Amino acid sequence: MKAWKLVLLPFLSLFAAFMLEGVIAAYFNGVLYTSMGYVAPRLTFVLLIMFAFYLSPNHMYILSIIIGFLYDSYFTGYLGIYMASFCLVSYIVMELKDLFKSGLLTYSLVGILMITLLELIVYWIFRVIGVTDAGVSIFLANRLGATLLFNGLLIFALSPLLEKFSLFILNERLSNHRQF
Amino acid sequence: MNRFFTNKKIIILLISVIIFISLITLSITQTNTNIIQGFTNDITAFVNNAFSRPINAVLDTYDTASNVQDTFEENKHLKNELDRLYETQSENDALRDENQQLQEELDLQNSITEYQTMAGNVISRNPDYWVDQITIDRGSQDGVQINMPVTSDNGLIGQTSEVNLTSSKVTLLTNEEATANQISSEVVGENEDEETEVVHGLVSDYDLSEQMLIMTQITSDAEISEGETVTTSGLGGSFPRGIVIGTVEEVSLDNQGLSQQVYIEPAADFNNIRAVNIIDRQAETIDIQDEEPAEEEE
Repeated sequence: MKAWKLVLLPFLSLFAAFMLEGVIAAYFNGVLYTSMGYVAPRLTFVLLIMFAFYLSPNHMYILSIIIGFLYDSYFTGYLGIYMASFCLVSYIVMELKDLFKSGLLTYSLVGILMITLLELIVYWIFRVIGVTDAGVSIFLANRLGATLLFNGLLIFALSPLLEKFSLFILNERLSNHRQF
Repeated sequence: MNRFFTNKKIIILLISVIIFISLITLSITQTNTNIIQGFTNDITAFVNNAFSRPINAVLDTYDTASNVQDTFEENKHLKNELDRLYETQSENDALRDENQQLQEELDLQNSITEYQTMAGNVISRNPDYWVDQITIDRGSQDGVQINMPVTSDNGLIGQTSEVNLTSSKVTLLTNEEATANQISSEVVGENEDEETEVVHGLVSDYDLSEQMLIMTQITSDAEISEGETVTTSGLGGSFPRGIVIGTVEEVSLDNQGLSQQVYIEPAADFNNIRAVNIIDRQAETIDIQDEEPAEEEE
């Protein structure tokens, strides 16, 4: 029972977040076009960062590759972009988690850093391929600010819940992990 | 430093970089999606249906509720429109009759203006917006094929780019990638002699800052006035004639100053696409890969 929970729940929750992102982008597009710029909802990515703090490396890499492949194939059609970004970010978070004391603020700050990294990598690869020809200044002004704000607030608001959820998956207690 | 850069890690890193770069290159160069991708996309779209139907239903009831407020004003407005509509309708009937007679006399097969429509719903849209695509819930088992035009709210929004069994993806016109959507279009207007004059061009670009489509490669010198409707011309090979793209907003000269350039306000609202129509042209479509056009069929 515990093994099923460990294997199924992360994948199912990431998949559900990935579906929700598409549905939000489809039906609430007018809302996402704020005056500050366009907000890209990154629920899947936020969940991935939180799981990277808790799960084992092998499990994390397999999850990132599978979810990255689904994300690429369903949304962009260019395989390998989100797969690479998700794997890279999982690796960085797993290296960082030993350096900082774990706590709610750490999750939010690491989350904001990783989202910036993801947006930069994806923009850069799309620029090199030729999908977009927007300059860096347009990208920064129109997308990065609004996306970071929205997703930063999201991860800040969701981190207690996600922490409890991850501990539930691993069947462990809060006091073993939280250090401040 | 030793912790990060052991031999094994460098080898894994290099191999994974090579794998990812080759994956990206493979996806760019291949034109048709392969079976695995199509299959996973189909399954994902099927699950996505379960997520999107409830939200769609909730939004529909919200729209109905907010529409009730405007009903009185809308009613007055619609009554006026209806009177004008009767006139246009009878004119239309007369023209259609004449057209039919002429077609029979000349023994024409399917013309490029005839088409059939299929209705579909949007179930998902690309959240990161660099590649603007929507997923709809009609697939090849409903008769959708690749490169069919798709409209929403009576304005063209794009064409189908990938078709699976129960779902398909539509690439929108707002993509900045230049090769994604080049649509042969025309503006039907009146010149000084009060004759209808058709100006042909190519809608190929989208200006993100002003949110308007750009029509280029206009060969004639005819005057295009603002407010005229831009429609598809059917000469591109796969689109029928007469689908509304938008209205002319601004006419200017292009970068080299040689030909005219028209900024078009799109007729469809790209921020709120919920129900779409997929258009199936009745006439024979010319495939780009074919060497010579096939024989016309019934």
